[in-house]
Amino acid sequence: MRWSNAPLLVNPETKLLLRQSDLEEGGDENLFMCWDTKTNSVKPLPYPWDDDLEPALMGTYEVAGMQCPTGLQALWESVEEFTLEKAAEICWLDADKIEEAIKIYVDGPGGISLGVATDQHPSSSVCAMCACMLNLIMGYVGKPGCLLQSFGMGPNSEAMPFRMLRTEESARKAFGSSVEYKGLNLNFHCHIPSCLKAIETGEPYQPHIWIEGSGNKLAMLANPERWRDAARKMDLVVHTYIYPTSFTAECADIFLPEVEWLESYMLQNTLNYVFVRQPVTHLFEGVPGQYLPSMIIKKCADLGNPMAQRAMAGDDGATGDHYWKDFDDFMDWYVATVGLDREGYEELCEKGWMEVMPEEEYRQYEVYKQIDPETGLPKGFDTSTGKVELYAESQVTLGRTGFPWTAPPYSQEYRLDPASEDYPAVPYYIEPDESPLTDEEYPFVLSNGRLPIYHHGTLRNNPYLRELYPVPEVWINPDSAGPLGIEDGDWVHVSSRRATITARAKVTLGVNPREVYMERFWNPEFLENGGDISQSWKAMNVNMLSNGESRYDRVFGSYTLRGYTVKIEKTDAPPEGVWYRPEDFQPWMPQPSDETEMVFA
Amino acid sequence: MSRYAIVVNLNRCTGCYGCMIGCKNENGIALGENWNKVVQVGPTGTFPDIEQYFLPVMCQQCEDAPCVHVCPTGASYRDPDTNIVLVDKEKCIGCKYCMMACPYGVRAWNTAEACVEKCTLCQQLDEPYCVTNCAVGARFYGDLDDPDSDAAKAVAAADPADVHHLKNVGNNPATCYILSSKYATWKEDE
Repeated sequence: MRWSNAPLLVNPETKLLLRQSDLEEGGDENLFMCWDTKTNSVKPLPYPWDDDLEPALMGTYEVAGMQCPTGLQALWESVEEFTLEKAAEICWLDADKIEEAIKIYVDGPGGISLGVATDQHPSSSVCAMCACMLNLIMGYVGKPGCLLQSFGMGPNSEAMPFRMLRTEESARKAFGSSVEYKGLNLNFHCHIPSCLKAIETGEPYQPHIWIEGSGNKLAMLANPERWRDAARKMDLVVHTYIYPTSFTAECADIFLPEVEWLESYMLQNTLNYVFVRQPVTHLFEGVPGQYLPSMIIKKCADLGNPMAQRAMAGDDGATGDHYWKDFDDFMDWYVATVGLDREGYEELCEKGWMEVMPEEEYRQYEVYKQIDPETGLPKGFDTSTGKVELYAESQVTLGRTGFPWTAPPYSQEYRLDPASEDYPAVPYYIEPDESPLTDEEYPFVLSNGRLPIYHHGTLRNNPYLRELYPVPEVWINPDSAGPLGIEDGDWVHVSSRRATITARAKVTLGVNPREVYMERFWNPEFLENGGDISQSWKAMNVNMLSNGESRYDRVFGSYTLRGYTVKIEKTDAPPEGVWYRPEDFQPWMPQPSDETEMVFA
Repeated sequence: MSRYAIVVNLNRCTGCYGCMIGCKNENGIALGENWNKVVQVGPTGTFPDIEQYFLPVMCQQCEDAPCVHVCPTGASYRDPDTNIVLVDKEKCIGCKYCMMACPYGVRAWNTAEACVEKCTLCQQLDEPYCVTNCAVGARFYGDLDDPDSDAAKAVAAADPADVHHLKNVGNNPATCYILSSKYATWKEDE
């Protein structure tokens, strides 16, 4: 009650919380209104509280001719149709089990955390909102055993803090995130489908150069064929990675080798410690990923590019710290982020870790109640009301302006143009574009996941790992496999409305009968077996099936990488050239070679 | 006489395959061959009430080892000092009787060297590499008859009802698996 905006009234016309300035000329825009049940009238609720008031938690009240619900009333109205029974029906669960889970959760303390599953779907922002609001309703904030905490922040060893480098000009030019999908501005991302359209059509403008730092975009994005064609339209594509992938072979003009994690240092800030990941091997000449962009900029500066020269000189006040003249310069800066010089860093590497903050300074609970010496009031939360939001006004503001990622501590203060539709302040539910409830042609819903053997797109060329899981499996329940004549280990075709790929069936009880599960995959062997290179990202890549043209999440623009419909049919054999027997991977077994130069220590 | 063995706490095992791959890497084992194999037991039950566990299977260091009995050359033998069952590859003639006799299929055929090999409890190291490499501290090594050993302590700390062995056909496998029924039911015949 006291620490959320649940009792505050919503202005139905602005869709923001009702402020004193909405009701009277010269009123305070930082003073929010509630319905006082003692006097049966609208009253301002000063921060943090007023004991003379008895604000209503629920209900809708007439104020200045408007029907104003409380924050909690607005939230309630958005979710009230979703009873246990209805949720069970939509989610294919047992209502009693949902209730059992809820009871465990409310016993507390605890928290609900999300994984990538909801991120990779047009419900991404709504799921995050729901999980957050449940935790907030329960007050699972700043208490032992909860997930929402305000523990101390360790040092930041991030080599390229983009928040200090991004300008208003570059934010306005970012595809998709400047107007419609403003949630992406948190991490300076563009909207993937908007990037693709820009390259293909030149609208809103034509990009020319692509510097790619990830492994294999042709395996990780939906619409890989369009991306392959789009890359070939670019004037220059540079790929920086630890070894060549499909993307390198199909799309890149220049390949710059990076060192692998096992070959490089990295300061890892965890809890109130810093750990040092240290090199344990050296394979071939490569550059640490954090330092590589600086090398490129320095070379551009040496060749006469004025913007690069400005960056190296640090003339704009923000950048100079982050472009280094050589690797030694970089290491001096890097170790200084944890308050060390090079000698101190050597000692840290010996030990492997150090405490950067004492436990009692790090692990503080109920930080929001601590008094801010400047104001004499509790610190509260970083929201318009200083309280947590059960009515997410901040989402409305985000959609209209881009705030808070268009204000300090980001480099500049500015506002972006509003999205075409307001972001909702309360959750909503929409059935997916391709729904397993109604799709007869493609009867299974496909979900993705992770395996312990692989990490994102990596390790498909590691022989000891690849022989454990040589080709992607599609997990299918025995009740569904039987009628299709599919047995454990059979080769199958998996098809969506977009493409067909091959996988091997794993018949298992571990998946709902109406669901199948697959993991991402690509086949590096096609880069060297003399076959068609495009098979490396076509033959067994689940993202050939993904839906990049689905409805997008309102806030982040997420498309449908999981939760679209597919069908499964038995087939005889894998595509020719696919390696799947243990002995197939012999070419990848380590071979001794002449020593390679250590370019960077 | 000592009883060196590995104890695996299946309550902790996450099925990460770190022990399986670590063993291959440490001992230079060829593709297609394994001295330690992680088996996924399950899921069993009726969807959605299902359970499963992971079961790393390697030489069980049987007290009465069939592989030693059947070996015509003495290549499969017990080390006189440590009592550990090992393979002397120099003496192995590749008849594979030991592979047939082993109830658990943990002996591997080394194609390149045309002889049998298996888990050696990493005699070249202070402790088996799978134990060092386990990401979740689920593996313990030592002489089960020495109460101070990690292996013996792991068994002593467990509820006796949770301590299991692979199916015993008179060979008395020494290796212990700890699995509580609150996670899954031990499947004797898997």
